[in-house]
Amino acid sequence: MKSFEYQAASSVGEAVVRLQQAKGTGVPMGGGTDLVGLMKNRVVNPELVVDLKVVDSLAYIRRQDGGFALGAATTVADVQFSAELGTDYPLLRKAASLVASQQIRNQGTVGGNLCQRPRCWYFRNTLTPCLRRDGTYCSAVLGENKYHAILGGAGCFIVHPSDLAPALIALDARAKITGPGGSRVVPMEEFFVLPREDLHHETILKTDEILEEVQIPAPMQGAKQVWLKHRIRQVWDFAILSVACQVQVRGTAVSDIRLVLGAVAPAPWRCHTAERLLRGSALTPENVDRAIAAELAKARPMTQNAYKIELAAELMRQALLG
Amino acid sequence: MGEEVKDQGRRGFLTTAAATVGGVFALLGAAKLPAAAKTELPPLSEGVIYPDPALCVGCGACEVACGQVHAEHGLSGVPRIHILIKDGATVGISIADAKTTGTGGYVPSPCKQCPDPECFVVCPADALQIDGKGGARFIDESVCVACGKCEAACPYPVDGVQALTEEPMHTKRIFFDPKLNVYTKCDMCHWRAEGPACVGACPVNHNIKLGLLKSDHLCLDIKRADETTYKQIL
Ligand SMILES: Cc1cc2nc3c(=O)[nH]c(=O)nc-3n(C[C@H](O)[C@H](O)[C@H](O)COP(=O)(O)OP(=O)(O)OC[C@H]3O[C@@H](n4cnc5c(N)ncnc54)[C@H](O)[C@@H]3O)c2cc1C
Ligand code: SF4
Ligand code: SF4
Ligand code: SF4
Repeated sequence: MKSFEYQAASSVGEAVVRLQQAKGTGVPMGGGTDLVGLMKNRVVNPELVVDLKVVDSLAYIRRQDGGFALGAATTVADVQFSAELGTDYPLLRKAASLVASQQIRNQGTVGGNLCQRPRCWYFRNTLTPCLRRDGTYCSAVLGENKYHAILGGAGCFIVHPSDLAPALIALDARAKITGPGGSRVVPMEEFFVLPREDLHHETILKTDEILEEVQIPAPMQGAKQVWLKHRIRQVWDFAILSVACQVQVRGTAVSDIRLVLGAVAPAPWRCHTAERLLRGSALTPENVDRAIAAELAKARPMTQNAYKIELAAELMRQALLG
Repeated sequence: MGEEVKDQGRRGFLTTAAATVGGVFALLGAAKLPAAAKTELPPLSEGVIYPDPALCVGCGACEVACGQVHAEHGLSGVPRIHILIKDGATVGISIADAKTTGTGGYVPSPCKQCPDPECFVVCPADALQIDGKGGARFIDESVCVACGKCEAACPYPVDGVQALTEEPMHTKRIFFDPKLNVYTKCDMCHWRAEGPACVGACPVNHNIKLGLLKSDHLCLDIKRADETTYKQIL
């Protein structure tokens, strides 16, 4: 690891000022469960690390505008064990409880989980070329790509590794971003970017901005909430594929739906096409299959990951009909 | 002392041509120019992006890298090369099979750097320039008035479905950037020390160079833009 300056931030304002002064050479840190590994492997080499976990005012779960607000330094375990959150958002509780392991959930933060860097093995190894990391070329296109993207890839084919991200998008959450010029609030879906928009970053954050808060509105009334995660090992493991959804049915027809896939694309994949087809229709196997097929028609599998199309279809079927 | 290289616009060439005795003259775009406006052909571009659709695996690295290096350089971030799937072809096929590339039917469509660039002749703002070093035909975005004449004049359509977005595309090899209100085209990355970003980002190129894929030429190659090569580019 390269030497760096450590700064325990006393407030969000101070953190942002220090990052601004560092002119792109500083990074914020939550629990460090991702960042420290990246630094050890010299994938990320900051000169300044601004610790947000010591900012007391950044770790909270509180009621706000009929929903909840979560401070970025709240741990994943706090989300997992919050009875209030669990009552309103069972899908979030389930997603949080299946992140990594209990040790990582105790240490890792919501902000860090959403801002974690990709797990692509070429990205994480400075000996292998990577278009995202060092701008050479993507080793995954003609290399080992069984866990890579089937949707949204262009130039780079990572899948976004966060489990909280698809869950929060299904819940219509927003991200409060704070930088030197103040704060802005964006839908969580727009917080993430595809490589077509930015090849080197996974979020819209600028180098002197932090994710300060996640805001979750009240859930859809009477809606079914589902979180499904397929992984190879039953603990400590990232999703091979995940599905997060809220489906509200009035009478016989779907009145509202938010359906999001995780680990299929470089950003959480909101299934706009399937949602559109299902809104106003009955939740029958035929309608569901038609919507899933339309969504996955856009898939462009790589050499080794066509299985993910079937897996996505099956998990979506279980989520919607199960 | 090194030779001074200057970029030249159409007017520059017209002036030079008028002053040249025994220069090579050609009647270029006569219908569009005032009577008897003879002009010297600009020098051939030393380079043109020369794709082999049989090798392309449709990863889109060229397209994405093109847009992003230009944006980082303060130019329009609209990609100047696009990966198409011919109209009617299925979209959503395998990106690659390392041993048999090109099964996808992907067609990269770069600018041909025409020997007689029609875009160059019609620009009323002199925004179309010839790079003084390599001869790349490029648009000076700072003077482009977004009239669209270059796009209209470009003889080479780009018709098909975009592999990365599945959106249909029916344009020429010159593209409008609504954000900056300018037109833009492949400039061979003539301002970039490392050379064309697309060629550098293409993973098939690297696999060929590493001997992992057998081919006597690259997927995205650079050739001299002479009469033969530019006709061969799809
Ligand atoms: C073995 C293992 C298995 C894992 N499995 C899963 C899994 O199944 N599901 C899953 O979702 N995750 C998984 N993870 C990832 C883990 O959840 C993350 O490492 C953790 O959530 C990151 O939180 P952190 O606070 O430690 O982040 P840090 O390591 O502190 O930071 C991560 C990144 O986010 C940035 N960052 C942190 N906070 C902020 C902020 N507030 N604003 C802006 N940027 C910020 C940092 O600069 C850094 O780039 C796994 C990790 C490991 C090591
Ligand atoms: S998939 Fe992305 S992160 Fe992985 S090697 Fe390719 S460019 Fe790098
Ligand atoms: S040479 Fe440069 S400008 Fe031309 S298509 Fe390639 S990347 Fe784009
Ligand atoms: S980078 Fe190469 S293989 Fe990828 S789409 Fe472009 S030309 Fe095809």
